[in-house]
Amino acid sequence: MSTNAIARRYAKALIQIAVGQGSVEQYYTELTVFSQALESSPEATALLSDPGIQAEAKRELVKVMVARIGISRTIGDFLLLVLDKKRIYLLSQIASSYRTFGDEEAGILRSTITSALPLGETQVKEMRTALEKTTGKKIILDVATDPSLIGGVVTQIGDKVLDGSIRTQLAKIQDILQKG
Amino acid sequence: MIFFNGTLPKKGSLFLVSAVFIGLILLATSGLASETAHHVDSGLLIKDFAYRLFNFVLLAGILAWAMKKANVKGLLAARRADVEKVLREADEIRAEAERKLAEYSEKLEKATREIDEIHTAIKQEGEAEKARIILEANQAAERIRKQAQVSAHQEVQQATARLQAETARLSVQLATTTLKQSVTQDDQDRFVDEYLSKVVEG
Repeated sequence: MSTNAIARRYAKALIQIAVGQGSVEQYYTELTVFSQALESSPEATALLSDPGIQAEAKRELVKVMVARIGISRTIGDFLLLVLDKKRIYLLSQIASSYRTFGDEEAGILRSTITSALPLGETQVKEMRTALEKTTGKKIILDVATDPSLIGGVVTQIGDKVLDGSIRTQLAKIQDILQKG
Repeated sequence: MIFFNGTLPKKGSLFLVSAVFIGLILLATSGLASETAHHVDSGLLIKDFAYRLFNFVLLAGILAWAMKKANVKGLLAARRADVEKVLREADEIRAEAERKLAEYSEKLEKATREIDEIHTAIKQEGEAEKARIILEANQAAERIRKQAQVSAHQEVQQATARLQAETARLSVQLATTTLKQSVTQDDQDRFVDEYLSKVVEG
C-alpha cells in the first residue's frame, strides 16, 4: 500500500470524528501547526524517527509538544496513535488529505487565481461567484499575480486549469504557425 | 639383292641363274665368230640355221630348266603373296587409319560441338550476367534516386519546418514584447470580463 493511501486512511478516520464533533477546521489547524512544528525541528523529527529510542520517550516528547502548542485532546490522542503505528513521518500527507476530505465534507473547492495584473476586489468576487455557479460548490480563492502571463487570468481548481492568459494564447498561435 | 618380301634368295638358285647367263653369252659369241670366219653358202646356211635352231631350243630348254630349277614361279607366287600381304596390311593400316581418322574426326567434331556449346553457354551466361548486373545497377540507381528524392524532400520539409518555427518564434516573441509594453489595466479588465463570460458559459 502506498504512503498516500495510508495517509488517506488515517485522514478519513480523523475527518469522521471531526465532523461528528463539528471541529473540522480546528483539527486541520492543529494538525498543520504540529506538522510545521516537527518540520521546523529536525532534532524532534530525528528523535521520533530513531528506532533506537524507547516508544515511551517518543510519546513523552509528543505529549510535551501537544501541551506547549495547545492542541486539543482528540488531536493529541490521534498523534500518539500515529506515533505508535510508526506513521508520524506521514503527518504532512495526513494533514493534506484531511483538508481534502474536510473540503469535500463541507462542499468547499479551493481554487487559485493567477492574474497578470492585480485583480480588484470586485473582480475577485465576480470570479468567485462565477466559479461557484460553474462548480455548484463554495469556492475558497487564493489570488496571485504573475506578470509573465502578459494579460488575462489562469484559474486552477483541483486538477482542472482554466487558462485565459495571453501567454497561453500566444503559445497556441506559435504552435499553429509552426505547423503551418 | 633384296626381294620384295624382304629376304635374300637361296645361294643355289643364284648360282644356277648366273651359270645359265654365262652359257648363253658363250653360245652367242661362238655363233657370231663362225659367221664372220666362213664364206656363206646355202648348205651352210641350213646347217647354220639348224645349228642356231638347236642352240635356241637348247637355250630355251636350259632356260626352262633353269627357271624351273630356280622356282621362278614359286618366287613370283611368294612375291605376289608378299605383295598381297603388304597390300592387305596397307589396306588394314589404311582402314585402321581411316577408322582412327573417323574416330578422331568424330572426337574433333564432338569437341568442336562441345566447344561451341560451352562457348554458347558462356556467352548466354555472360549475357544473363550482363543483364543481371545492368538490372541490379538500374535498381540500385533507382533506389539511390528515390532515396535522394526522399532525403531532399525531407531536407526541404525540415528546412521549411525550421523556418516556420523560427518565423513563429520571432513573431510571437515580437508580439509578446509588444503586448507586454502595450497591455493596460483596461485591457486586463476586458480580459477578465471575457474570461468570466467563458467560465460562466462553460
